[in-house]
Amino acid sequence: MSSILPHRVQHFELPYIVVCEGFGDVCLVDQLLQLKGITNCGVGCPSRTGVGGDGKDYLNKYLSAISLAATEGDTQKLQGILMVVDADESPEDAFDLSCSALKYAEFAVPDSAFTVKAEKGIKTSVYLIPGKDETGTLEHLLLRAAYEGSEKSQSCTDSFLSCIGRSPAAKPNVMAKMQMSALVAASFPENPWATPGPLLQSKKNDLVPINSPHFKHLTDYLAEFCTE
Amino acid sequence: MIEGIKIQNFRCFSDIEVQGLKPINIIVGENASGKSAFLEAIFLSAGAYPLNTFQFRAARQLGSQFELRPDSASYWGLWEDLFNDFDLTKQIRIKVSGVGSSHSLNLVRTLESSQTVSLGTQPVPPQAFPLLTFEWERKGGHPIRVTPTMKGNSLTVEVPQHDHFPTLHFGPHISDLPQDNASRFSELSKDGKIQPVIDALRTEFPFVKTLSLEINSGIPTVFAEVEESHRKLPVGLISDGVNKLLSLLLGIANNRNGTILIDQIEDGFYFKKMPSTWRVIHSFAKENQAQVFATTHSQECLDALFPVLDANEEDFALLRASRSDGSIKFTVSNGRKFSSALSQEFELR
Repeated sequence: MSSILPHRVQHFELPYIVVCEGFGDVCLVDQLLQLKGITNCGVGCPSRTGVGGDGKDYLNKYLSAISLAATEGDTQKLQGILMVVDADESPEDAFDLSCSALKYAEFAVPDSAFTVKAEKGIKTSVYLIPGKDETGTLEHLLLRAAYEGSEKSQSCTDSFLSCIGRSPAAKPNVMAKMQMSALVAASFPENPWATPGPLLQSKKNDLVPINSPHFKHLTDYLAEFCTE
Repeated sequence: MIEGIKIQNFRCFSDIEVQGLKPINIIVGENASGKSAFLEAIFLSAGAYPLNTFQFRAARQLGSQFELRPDSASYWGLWEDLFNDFDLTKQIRIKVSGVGSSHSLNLVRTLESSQTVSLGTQPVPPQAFPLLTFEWERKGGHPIRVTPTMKGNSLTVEVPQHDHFPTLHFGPHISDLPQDNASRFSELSKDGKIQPVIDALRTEFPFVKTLSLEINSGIPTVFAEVEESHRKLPVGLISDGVNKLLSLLLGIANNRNGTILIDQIEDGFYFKKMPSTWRVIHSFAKENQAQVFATTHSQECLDALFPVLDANEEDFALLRASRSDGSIKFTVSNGRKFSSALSQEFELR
């Protein structure tokens, strides 16, 4: 059963929520929650189609909206919020951005990434993708899983991007997204223009194995965080 | 400004306390979650005016006429639905706190018996039964007590002059009478304060050139001079939206430092007009330091509020009414969370 939160959230019944930046991260976390049999946690990301909001503001607004929906009368159903965000080129900046969003929504701010802070009965944490002490994005993590045991795939996409003159001109994070797109287009006939989200949700996904050891750290972190 | 309210044993509320109220308060929630009753509690608490309860009957489409008999059942039939679970043994208490608006109203079933005189063709021995007393007190003032009594088949209510809290209630199904608006218009006009109302109305409906007070079939009525019309028209004849906005603006201007209660604010307004209508209501209420409580079931109405809410978060609160296990809860959220939830398309209705 999917843990992905509905488009129009009314209130939260589950005690834990994973907040991601985009739909790709949401789909990965959803698959990992299902893999691990974690049923007390929902996962969602900000809407960019609502009546207002701009760029950087989305995460602030989403967390603030969660704070509203999680409270009913004097009942606080929420017990924990885990933010899963890309480290990008600076894990420090990514952590600071996450902390400012938590602060905006009046949630506890953890001391550092991969640690847990609890206040007023709600614990919070920030998980940076692709992992501890790393720069990068969701695509880096997905590529590792996709290339595992298939070095040929990696050299093929590298060659392809090099061949059309796009590599190594782009930044590493952009390169990872380009490689992932090329890989999906070439090996996912169900939906060759898919982004990682639909790919991960598809039953025919044999490109990125969800049980890859590259996802173990995130999976274990989810399981530990969602333990009451 | 009302900052908090505690309601006990009134309508669907057995005991509820709501704090964190702001200049503009939007109330949402499913049917039978207490939104209208909340407005009624605020309205009733504004003074010792028993007859105000009859306005609720009309607003709830229970009829505005009743046949009275000089007996307890007939007398209490007027009031018993005000009591939570129809339990007349408990007092109704409504306590309002805030800046310049701390007051309370208790509805007490007096234990002293009252005599009534029966009239009619059949001689009936006089009956005695308890009566309902409205006890109102403003902080620092003297308590006012009003007890409606039966005299024959008539209800007699003697209300002494007292310093009530200015409050106006707009129900969902009834419009103000033409003479209500005319009276408010006249009061403002005499004080030279009508032009801001006309200006505010014109920002929303610029085809209205000006307003004036005229006699229509013997009844004082607000007329409008509109573009491309050779004669003035009663505002009610132009459109529901123009009439409703005029009622709200006149109400706000006449209740400076008071409270305006609007049940189902979206009724009568074309959806494309809602964003600017909200802007007008917000700015006009702010200018007149009037506090607004408005209920809505409409997502369009909430979405339309977003621009003015996002730019003035500190002026707004969202009150979400809900019912669970037979009891009513009100969850108050500040403007920032309200604005965030709207921008993120969370379900608020």
